[in-house]
Amino acid sequence: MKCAGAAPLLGSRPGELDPVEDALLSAHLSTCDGCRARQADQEAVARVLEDGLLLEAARRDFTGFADGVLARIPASAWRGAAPTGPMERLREFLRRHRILAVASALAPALAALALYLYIGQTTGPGPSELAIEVTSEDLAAVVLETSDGPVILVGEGSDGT
Amino acid sequence: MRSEWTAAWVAVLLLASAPAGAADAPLPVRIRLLQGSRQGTPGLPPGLEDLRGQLSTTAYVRWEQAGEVQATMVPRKPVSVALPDGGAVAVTLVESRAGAATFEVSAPASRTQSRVTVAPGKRIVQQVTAERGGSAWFVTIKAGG
Repeated sequence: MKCAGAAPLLGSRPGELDPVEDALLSAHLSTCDGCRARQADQEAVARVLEDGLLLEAARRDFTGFADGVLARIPASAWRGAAPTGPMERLREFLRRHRILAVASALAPALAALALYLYIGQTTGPGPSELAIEVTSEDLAAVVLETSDGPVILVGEGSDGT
Repeated sequence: MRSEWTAAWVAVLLLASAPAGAADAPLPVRIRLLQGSRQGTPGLPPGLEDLRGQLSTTAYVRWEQAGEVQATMVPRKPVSVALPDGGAVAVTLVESRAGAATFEVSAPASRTQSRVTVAPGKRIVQQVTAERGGSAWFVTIKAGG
């Protein structure tokens, strides 16, 4: 490797060069005083810059940095933010308890279904007539109840016969 | 989440509408027009054998069937049964639900109106005219055909 080929590799950070480049550069530096001097200069500049940056950073007070950043984020942007209004709290509750919400919605429906089925079962075969209402303007009405159903008679007599 | 709520509300609406739908269900009904007489040879045609238990409770001994209407009735839609004298009897299914059906029979000839709730398979026998010359007209209603 010649100086022109080694120049771009000078000042590389540790691990930045692949093993072949690293070996070629090391071989060149061991034989070239000029490149070794430039390498030393660049390392010195890097150290100065690093120290300077750290020093500058140390002058700043980052005590409230994290709190300041968090304070500037709107509450609505937080996925887990505490809801403010009652509707928002309800929505948040339902979002967190989906199964409970669906079960709450279905509970009255299932209760109505159970009641409907129960009524349907209890009103199966029963008495032949459940309710009879007869109105007649000027004739006497008589209702005879039989096992097959009611017989409604009208007539002048009180027994309709 | 939205789909779960939608499904829940659809279920609620379907269940809520189920009883109403059952109450308005069409019902096959058999209506027969009979003439009962006190005089004459006692007799009951074979077609009226199923009514023997009810007809035998009356003082009419001779029975004849004069007409029949078989209809699939829906609530609040009256079915008219013509009488030989030109009059008519209106039979209305008021309500049909599991285990019971309510009928309203309006007989202008006898100025009589009845509302009877019966179980399926049971029959209503109702006199719809006043007795004349020892005979009177009746309608029988059987829910369930």
